[in-house]
Amino acid sequence: MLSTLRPALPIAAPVMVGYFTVGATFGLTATQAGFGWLWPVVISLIQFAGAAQFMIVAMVAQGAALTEIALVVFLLNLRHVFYGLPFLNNRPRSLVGRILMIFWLTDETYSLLTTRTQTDPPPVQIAVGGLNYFSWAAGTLLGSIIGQLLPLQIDSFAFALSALFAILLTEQIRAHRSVVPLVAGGLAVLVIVPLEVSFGIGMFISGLAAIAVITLWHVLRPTPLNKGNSS
Amino acid sequence: MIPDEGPLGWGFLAFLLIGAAGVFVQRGAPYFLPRAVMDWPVLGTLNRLLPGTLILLFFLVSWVTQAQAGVFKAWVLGVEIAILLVSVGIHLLLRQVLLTIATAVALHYVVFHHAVGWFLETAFSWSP
Repeated sequence: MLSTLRPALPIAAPVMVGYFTVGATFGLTATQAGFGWLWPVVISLIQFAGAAQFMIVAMVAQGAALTEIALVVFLLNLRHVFYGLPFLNNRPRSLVGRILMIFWLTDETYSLLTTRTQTDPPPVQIAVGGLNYFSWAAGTLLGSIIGQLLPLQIDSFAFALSALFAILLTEQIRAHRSVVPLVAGGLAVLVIVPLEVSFGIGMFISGLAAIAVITLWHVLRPTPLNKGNSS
Repeated sequence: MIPDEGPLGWGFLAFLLIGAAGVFVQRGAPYFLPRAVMDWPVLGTLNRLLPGTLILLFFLVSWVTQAQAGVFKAWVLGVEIAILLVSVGIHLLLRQVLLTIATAVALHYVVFHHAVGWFLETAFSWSP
């Protein structure tokens, strides 16, 4: 256990800090919306779906029906269908390991693990996801308690996630020394410009478009990237 | 605030559990794909280039959808991008992720809560 956590901790640390602060922000937001201190923690433990959790709180507070909330959350999380792709060739052997890997595979854990220069063994990947999960839950608990005790609101904590994404994007470009992600992302987002879509649907459609662009690039311009292993 | 006849209760707990199952299926979708997909030659390229593309799309899609919803504020976006660029610069210079995040949050707090505190409610309209 410790031998797995030791290498996982420095990998997970940046996301743990971001998750703790954003989790605390979620706890604060939910308690201020009238959820009490316990429900935000339950939501974080069961759902563990960042943006979707904020959406649930906002929609419940606005009196939306559970079916409406379910549809929006489903759409918001559609982008997740791509996340398992990089881990297919390095999946955990045990069923429990696979279940945990899938459950803990969030935006940030995905970004973090795919930015690594070497492929970590599955137990370390699972440990990274677990550390992030418990940081998110612990942050939510702290934020919920503070939200119950003090009427304060520090929205800037949520910006930690944007900063983390900016860092991860920078590292992705540095690691692969390719501007293809920038070009593919720029082209893919154009697909949704004429459409009136939610964030979740927009991510799903543009994600498919990005896959198409990268595939096209792969076919039309073979490079050494195509010759190596797929890890 | 939650309406008096709010949904919190056992039904809401069941909703959360069913929702979690849905999220699980979405996240695990590639694990259920046939083996042939794993041998697809393009997969190697996608593995390398798709993550960065999706991270970029988090930003781009949120900006586009916020603009379509009419809550997009160009100057807020400009200021937040400037803060992010400064943060990335600090990261490239010092290679300290935690310090970079702390700096970004501190800068954001100073700018939006003190420099332009009156526009606070728009500060996060675009963030992923």
